[in-house]
Amino acid sequence: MANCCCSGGQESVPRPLVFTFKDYWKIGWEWLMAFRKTFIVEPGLYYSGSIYDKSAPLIVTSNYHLTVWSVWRRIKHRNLRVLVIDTEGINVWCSSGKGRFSAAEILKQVNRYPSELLREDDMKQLILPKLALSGVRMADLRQAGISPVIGPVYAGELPSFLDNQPYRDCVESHYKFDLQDRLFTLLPSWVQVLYYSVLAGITTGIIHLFLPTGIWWQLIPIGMIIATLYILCFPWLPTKSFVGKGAFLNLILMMVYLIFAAGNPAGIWESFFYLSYISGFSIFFGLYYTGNSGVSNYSTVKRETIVFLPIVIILMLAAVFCAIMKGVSG
Amino acid sequence: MIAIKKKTCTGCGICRGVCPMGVIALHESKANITDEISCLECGACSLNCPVQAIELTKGTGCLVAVLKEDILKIASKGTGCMCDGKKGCGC
Repeated sequence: MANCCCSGGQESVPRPLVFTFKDYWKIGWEWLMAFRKTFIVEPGLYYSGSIYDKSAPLIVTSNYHLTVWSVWRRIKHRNLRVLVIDTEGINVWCSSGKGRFSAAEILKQVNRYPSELLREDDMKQLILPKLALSGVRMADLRQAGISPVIGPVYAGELPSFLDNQPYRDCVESHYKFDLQDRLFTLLPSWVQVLYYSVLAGITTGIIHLFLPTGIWWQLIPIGMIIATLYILCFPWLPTKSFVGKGAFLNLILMMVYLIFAAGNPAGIWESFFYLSYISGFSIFFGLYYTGNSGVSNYSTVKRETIVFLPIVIILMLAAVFCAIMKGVSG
Repeated sequence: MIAIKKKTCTGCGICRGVCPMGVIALHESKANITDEISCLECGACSLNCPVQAIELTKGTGCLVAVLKEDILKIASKGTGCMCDGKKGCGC
């Protein structure tokens, strides 16, 4: 994105919004890192299309590289303006929750530019991403002479929104967390699960070094299977509780394991190990996925963390104990 | 948790328009939470309510954030989730 990223300039001139092949590598990395800040776009006023047109619709977004790209790929063939505000490289949803995507930040960027450059009429109309409204008080914008319009939740809904003028608030645009949303979280969740599974594998691997148990690498596929099934089956797992879903998935996996173990009789300690580990990891992943999902709420996560995290720790300690006992009993 | 002060609510419907989950509806000219469990407690409704009729405890619905901010108390509110580039939950 040679034209807009990190050039260091603070000149108040609109710039063309252009992404290049190099940006796709960055986007792949950002996806793997699950929305964490990796590359940022310099805040300011950009435009798509061949020339800057002050009568073109003005969309506001965060300066997270992946977000700006996501908007750009939907509007690149249109005559549009994009106001990128400084959210410290955090996506719209997370930055508005933290109060960084705010009316003050929007006004800071608006005020960088001469008024005649921004507006066609008396009022500057800004299209806000709906997910920014937990940080943006629209009344503050109106007070500053800006007319905010609530845009859609998804960048993918932008084209149909833009096709229908005059723009109306997207009251019925809602966050769905459908299969596409969940698949977007799958790869980063694998990366995170791999990290915790490798830690667990190292722990049991150390036990295996001293007391041969044969248990170490198996924890990695177990973690990946739990994460994959949880994410893909999310809406069909009963209850709206993330932990409840994890517990239900655990019941199914335990039954599968017991059927498998009946045909391949393992030692009692090995069976207890897997039952404890699968239970602990399923509940842990249920808790952990709250951070990746976007459909969790604070009070439920807090309540469930206080109740279930100690249970996860007990189950994991029980699994370590069972692994040691398996090694001791041969 | 979210609560609507019925006496204060004017039924303007702004909260309904800003809710990303569509869990607020107007009933007899008053805002109503139709699905409390699905409410994200994001605070868009309370922030944009012109008469402050919505009470809400705002926080980050993320295990790592809750752990750091509320349980271990090693991070201040809004910083525990670490989705700003440091190692963390990735939310």
